[in-house]
Amino acid sequence: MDHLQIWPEGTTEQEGLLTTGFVLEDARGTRTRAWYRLPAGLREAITESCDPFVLAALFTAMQTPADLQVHGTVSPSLLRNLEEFQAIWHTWLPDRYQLVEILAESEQEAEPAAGSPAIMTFSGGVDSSFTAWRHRTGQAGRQTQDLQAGVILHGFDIPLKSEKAFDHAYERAHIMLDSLGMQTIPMANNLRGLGGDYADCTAAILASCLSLLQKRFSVGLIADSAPYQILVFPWSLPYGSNPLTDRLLSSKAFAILDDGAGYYRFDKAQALSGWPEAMSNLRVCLGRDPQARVRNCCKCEKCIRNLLIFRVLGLGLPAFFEHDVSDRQILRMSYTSPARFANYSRILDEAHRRGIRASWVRALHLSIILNRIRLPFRKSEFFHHLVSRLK
Amino acid sequence: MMTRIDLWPEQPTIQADQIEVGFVLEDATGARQRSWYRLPVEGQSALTGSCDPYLLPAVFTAMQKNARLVIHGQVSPSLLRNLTEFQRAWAGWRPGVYTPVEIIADDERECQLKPERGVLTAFSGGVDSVFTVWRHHTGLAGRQNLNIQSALMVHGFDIRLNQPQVFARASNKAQTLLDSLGIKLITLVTNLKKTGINFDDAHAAILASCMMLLQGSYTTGLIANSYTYDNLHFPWGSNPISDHLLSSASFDVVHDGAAYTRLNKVKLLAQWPEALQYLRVCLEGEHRDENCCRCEKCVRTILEFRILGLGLPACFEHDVSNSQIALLDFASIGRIYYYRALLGTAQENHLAGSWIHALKWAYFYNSLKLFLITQLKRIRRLHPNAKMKHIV
Repeated sequence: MDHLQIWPEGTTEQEGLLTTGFVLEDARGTRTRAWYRLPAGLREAITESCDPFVLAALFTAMQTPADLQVHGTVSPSLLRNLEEFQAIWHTWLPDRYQLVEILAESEQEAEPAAGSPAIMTFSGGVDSSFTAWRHRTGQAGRQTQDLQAGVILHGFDIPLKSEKAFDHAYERAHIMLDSLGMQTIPMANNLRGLGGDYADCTAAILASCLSLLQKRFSVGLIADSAPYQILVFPWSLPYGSNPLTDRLLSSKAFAILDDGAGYYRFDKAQALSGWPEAMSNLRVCLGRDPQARVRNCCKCEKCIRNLLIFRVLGLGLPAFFEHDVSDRQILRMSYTSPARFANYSRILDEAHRRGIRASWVRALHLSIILNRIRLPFRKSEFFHHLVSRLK
Repeated sequence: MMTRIDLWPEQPTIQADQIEVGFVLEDATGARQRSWYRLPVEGQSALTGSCDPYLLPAVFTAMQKNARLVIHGQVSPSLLRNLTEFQRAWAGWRPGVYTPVEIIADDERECQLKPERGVLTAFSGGVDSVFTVWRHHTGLAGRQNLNIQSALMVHGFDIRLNQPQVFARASNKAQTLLDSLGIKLITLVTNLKKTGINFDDAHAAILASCMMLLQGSYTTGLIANSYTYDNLHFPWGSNPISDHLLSSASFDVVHDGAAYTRLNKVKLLAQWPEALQYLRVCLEGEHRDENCCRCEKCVRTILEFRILGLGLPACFEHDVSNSQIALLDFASIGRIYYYRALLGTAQENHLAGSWIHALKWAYFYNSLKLFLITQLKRIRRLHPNAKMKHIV
């Protein structure tokens, strides 16, 4: 099997920003530079371990496929977990991902940060806002983490070239996290450019960015976007970030926790309604235009779903949406994901429970039925088997 | 209003060569349900004084009755933290059946145990648990390899409590099998399956409870997987998402082997002669210490060996006929996965013959049947009066 080599680079400082990263060199000698850029005040938090780089490069290695040769130190506990992590992804997508060896020049556990301070990735959406809210307000009970900071990533859902959009998103995130007494850390990176299917490697990239700061933090939270209940549907996995594989991105010194899978988006929205800064600054949109994403386009499926959730909760049109949604838009939604069905069914249940008889409820009901009728033909293994045989 | 269940641990008692421990669950009406575990007296030193093991099955009773659980003894805070998420997962998988409840303990404290303890695995003698023992013994588990010292076989699960001779014969076979690898067999009897909990949902919690009872001598308990990662079924008692949430800081519960298909396991087990002789896969025969060679699981296992060109292993007395294969009844959609893998391997190995036709027929007939049943259920749910909560 070919080799991919990870060459770690030192940390440099320029104009108040730190840049660190690594070079990924393939068997032909082609070198790709991966970098992370963050405020200079975090220098003491950046680890010397290559754990974050291994996480960032893993999917590329599995997809190539090529063994990973790391010219630095890696935690044996991470390597142990990544064996199972790879086994899972290989089992799910055997044609896309192969099992690879990770060979490190040195294997040594990193020293964990004192106490158990936690950090999270924060997009400003419902899931990550709920995670921040529940840990900072004591709603997480025995699971409460000492959550001190949120990292907002540039180069992830907001492309690197959309600097204005990122500045706007950062501003909104900062208002929200500041109101909870948390630090907001902007971190730009080009990890998406390393290859690997973006949908699959989401959690690995998030974990890579979080674990980069493991000299100050010992726990990294990734807000879960799909509740446990959707796992009852056989096609719900694979899913880039999930409670099965996320925790396997942990080492002894830095634990990755998948947070909030026990709650529906519906429950999360209800909890967030008690947080005024969230109700003015949430960023839920996944529309095509990055600039529109920051404003919430009010047209994409995700915006419509969130609008309906707040509407059925009797919270009206939150300030973070500029326009309301029409019945026609509701009726024309198209989805196949179990999480979507679960969410829309829950909204409809709640509307019925509250005795809401408006036209949008009928539109939603019809939309679920139409999508539901389409579903067996899209998802049935028997149907696909039959079609492939006929072909 | 949330009601309350009290958990009262009992002091160990010794009778003849057996030691018995247990606990009583008392609900708000004063109704009491006693659960007990019995094992050979030489296991006494391994027994924990903590209530952690008792909490694992009790949490299902409490979730089912939506009752606050009050433990009159010591419980690990790390276990309580994990059980918060465990309950959330199960409430998500079975809404309306389980509700997350509050757990309060008289004494919340981590167990102080010696660090040098061993590794234990749950052991039924079936393909999955035998494979777990084999892969760790032979180093197939790579960096995840554990040095398994003991295997725990529980009486009161698949072999009924009123069949002590059947269990004795089954455990003798297991002992012979494990002796060949130098692994100690521990037997334990419990009535936990008879305490009104849904065994399909709670079997991993009950297994973990039995293993955790011995945490004085063991740090880790392995539970062999039921389904592979690409064929996971929720809700099902043992799974890679909720099993590890049964762990505490002093005792790890590990879901093991889910990356291996059953065919891979059978292929690797063929290198272990004792396994071929003493495997116990049957779940429907009258005497569970033997393989009936008639039930779906026996037939499937025989076919797995046959398709891999391994012939009929000694643990099966008879081979299966074509009519037995053609008349196979898959109880659930999960079974389709196994038979698709069997047919795929048969095709790869260029196998032909009347039994392959019989197998293809069984696969086609059962797939069609289960597809129609599933679609009918879905159409029923589309009715305007149906509850939309479970529309998919």
